[in-house]
Amino acid sequence: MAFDIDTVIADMRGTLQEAVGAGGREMQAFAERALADHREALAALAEARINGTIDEAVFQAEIERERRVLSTELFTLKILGRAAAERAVNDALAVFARAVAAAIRD
Amino acid sequence: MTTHPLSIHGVRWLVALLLSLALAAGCTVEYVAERDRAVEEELLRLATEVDRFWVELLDTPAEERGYAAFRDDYNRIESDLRALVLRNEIRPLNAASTEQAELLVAQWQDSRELHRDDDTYGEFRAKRHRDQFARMFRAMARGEQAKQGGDD
Repeated sequence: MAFDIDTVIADMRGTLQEAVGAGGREMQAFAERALADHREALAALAEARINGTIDEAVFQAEIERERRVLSTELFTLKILGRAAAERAVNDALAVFARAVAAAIRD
Repeated sequence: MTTHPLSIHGVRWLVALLLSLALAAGCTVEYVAERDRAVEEELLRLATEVDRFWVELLDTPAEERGYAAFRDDYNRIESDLRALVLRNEIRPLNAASTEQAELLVAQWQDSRELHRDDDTYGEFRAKRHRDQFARMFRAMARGEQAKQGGDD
């Protein structure tokens, strides 16, 4: 089989797009779930402060704790992004290597 | 001694084989640590242990929630969480997971200080803190799950 760089690049582009798209969907699903959890937690916190169940010191302490939760979730997004990029690059390189190997074999 | 020179076809097969082997052996990029099943299992174990702590605390009548009754649990769990930081720290390309484990330790220490200072734990905060830890562990488990390779 002849080696056609344009065909190979087109295949690599398709593979990259597929992998990046899948990674993006995973990140979006995770972020949406995390935001929904935060919405609930922050709504309860606001309500408790407004109706006087908790004082300002507790309110601030709870905000600091929510910040740690959110930071943990953002680090997960970072891992998901890096993992998706890793998958995309490796998949695209595999397409290239397979095309070269096929050209040599034939 | 008779030698058998490789034909052109043979050389091509050899190159193709070497290319495939090179690809399989690591001609790949790596941006995150490899998946580690042992760390995943430890995360699940710790998540269960921490949740059990909150269930027991919430099940204890408010007047019996003094810090001393929970001191041993705080010590044991904090040691386990610190061990998790170390396990993450020694893995290459694993800075994000290490930061997550450090946040978990900070959150745990915050709970402990609050409990020690107040010598009790109010219902409102105990329920919130149980939920916060659940969300943190869930995020960490998802991150670990996203990593590839390892002992898959």
